[in-house]
Amino acid sequence: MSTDNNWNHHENKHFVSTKNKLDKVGCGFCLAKWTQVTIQMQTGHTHSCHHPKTHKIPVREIQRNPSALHNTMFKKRRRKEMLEGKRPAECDYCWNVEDNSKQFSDRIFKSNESWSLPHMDEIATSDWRADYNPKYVEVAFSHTCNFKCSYCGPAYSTTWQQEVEKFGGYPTSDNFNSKERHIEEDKWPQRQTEHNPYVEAFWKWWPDLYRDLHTFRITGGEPLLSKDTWKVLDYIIEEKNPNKNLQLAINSNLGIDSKLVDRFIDKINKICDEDRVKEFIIFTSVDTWGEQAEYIRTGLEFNRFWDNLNKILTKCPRVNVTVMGTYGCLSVPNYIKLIDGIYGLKQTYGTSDRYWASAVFLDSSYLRYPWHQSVQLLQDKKWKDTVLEQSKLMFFQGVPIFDHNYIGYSDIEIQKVKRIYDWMNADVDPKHLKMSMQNFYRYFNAHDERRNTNFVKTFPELEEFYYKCKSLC
Amino acid sequence: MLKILHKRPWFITNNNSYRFTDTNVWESTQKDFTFYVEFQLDETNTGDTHCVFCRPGKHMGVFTKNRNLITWDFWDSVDGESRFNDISFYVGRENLYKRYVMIINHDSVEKRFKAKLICKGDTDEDEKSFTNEAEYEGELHDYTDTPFNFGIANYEHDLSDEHKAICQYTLWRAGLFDTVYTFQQIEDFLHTNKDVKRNLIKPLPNSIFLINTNELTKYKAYDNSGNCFNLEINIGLIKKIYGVAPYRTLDVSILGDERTFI
Repeated sequence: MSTDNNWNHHENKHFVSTKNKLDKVGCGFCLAKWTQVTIQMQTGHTHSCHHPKTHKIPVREIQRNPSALHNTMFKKRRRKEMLEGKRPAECDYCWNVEDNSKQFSDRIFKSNESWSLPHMDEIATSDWRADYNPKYVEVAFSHTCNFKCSYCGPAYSTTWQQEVEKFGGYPTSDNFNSKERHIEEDKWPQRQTEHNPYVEAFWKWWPDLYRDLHTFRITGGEPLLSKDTWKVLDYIIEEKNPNKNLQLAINSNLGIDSKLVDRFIDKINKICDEDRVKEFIIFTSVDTWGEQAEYIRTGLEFNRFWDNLNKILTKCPRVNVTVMGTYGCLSVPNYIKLIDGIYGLKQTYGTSDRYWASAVFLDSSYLRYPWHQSVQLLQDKKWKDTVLEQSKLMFFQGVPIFDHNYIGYSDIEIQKVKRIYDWMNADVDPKHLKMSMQNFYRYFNAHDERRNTNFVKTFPELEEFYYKCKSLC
Repeated sequence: MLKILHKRPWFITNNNSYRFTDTNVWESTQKDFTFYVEFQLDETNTGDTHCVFCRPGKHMGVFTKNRNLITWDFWDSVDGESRFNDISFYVGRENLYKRYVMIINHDSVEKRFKAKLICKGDTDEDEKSFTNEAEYEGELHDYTDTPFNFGIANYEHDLSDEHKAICQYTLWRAGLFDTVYTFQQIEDFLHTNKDVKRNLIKPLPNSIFLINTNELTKYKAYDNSGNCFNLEINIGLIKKIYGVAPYRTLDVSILGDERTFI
């Protein structure tokens, strides 16, 4: 009798192949440094891939060449390192994953994307000095935002900016989110009323960029509170010869006024019904469930958020939604409810009318900054086991084979939570840990005073940890 | 409960996905083990051989035969020669389609299998049970490279129906431990945990997989062992049975009983 009926797959051959190809060019080679860009117009900062810190775009560079919003001289030097077989230090997120686990890092995932992989040969043989039109572009037109999430800051949120103007930075050892630090790093956002040279450069570059785009994603701030977001949507609606291969993605906290949500739904449906884009994706964020999620994301009303999410999925039958979970230590106790909740949405709204039948994705990334909110603070085994249980549940709720027609958690969604568990188990410097635990207490104690919240009441599971941190101060 | 439909088999992989566990499922039936399965055959199974559960190849597992036997089959080899062995329970045609629990334990030192077949009644008083055992001389066949199949023994086009042993039935539970437990210990375990979903009320140590069908997705039944050896629908094999190319999506929701499907 034959035993040839074990068809299950456990190592995605595509990722293995991509890793091998990348490593042939260099152990630090990552296509995202060319193909992907995030541009923050409010501060004039950019990075390729969201893991390295952003750097400032020199105004003189964009005056000469608007594509320097992406092709800065700083970035070109990192590309040079990659092409010469070096690992740029700013990409340590991936080196950490690769050196501490057997999971694939984002270097592989991002390079394997359809906006990267087809361009590998062209990039591998390119001159590091050359300008390159990115395929996956994220822009933040402004930092106007009605939320002030605990790990965010004035560079991305006007409400955070107002709080810091009023109270100053937080009393952590690094004076978290202080105005002085932002000014030092040239990240204090400019006023909305001031002329913004980066936005001006963007609109000069846009007609050329639009044609080359695979994915265009608008972030913020809250993008639906920015006039430039609506300008992009209207441009696509009115364009006589639209880029029909475009995957258009818009971030929203879905905590805005319902009239704006309705207006947004109208624009989405106009664009989708006229096939003006290949795919319309909405990115939203929540980091755990219910009241605890509201604590992490000040301004969030969880039920309103969940209702708006359901409204969009109901009224926009061709849209996919990605829920980004920024996984910090406060996510741990109840992230499993979010996993179950998102799985419920996948089942309810899963349909072949959408490009991905699983209507909703949960993209979990571990929080690195500020480190006083990282999961690595929770060194107790029970918390590590809790995260492992979460990844196991996702595996149970996973699709049987990677295929866009199956409904459930994909390989990537599962691996990203398993990776958080692996990261929790990485070595942590005891001195750094102690300092961060002190900062944890100082931050949330001040948070409760400033924002009239109650950490211990909201996170009874972490009460012991909270007082342990307090005892270290 | 989970309906395992005709030509729509399920399986537990013999691999360790995502390294969720250090437990080796692949070699778990070579040494001491205890296995149980609770099932009820559909009356549409009228062939000579039907497979409830097996590790394929020179197979080991639970079968029905001749429409009147429920068996535990296994192979050993003596001086390089393979020999077939079984523990058979005669139930008669009139009882074949009732609900059963079969418990097997294997003592690798004594080279002995013990089996208990429990025919579930409407009440505890109606329940009937039988025990039997078999010893073997040689080395138990090596099953480490084979999956744990439910509802099919093997599939190759050129195999006879007897070797495919396709089976449609209702599965309630199946489990495996790498320890010899008494029948009573397993019966107590099953009784205590009969309604559980994600958390056992009272575990037994050394579990490999503990499939409950109270917690299901469209493609998987939950493994309470913590090892993540969930019971999964065997998409790859179903594609092979129906001649669907590997790169094409198979919509499992439109596939049913092959006899009505065609």
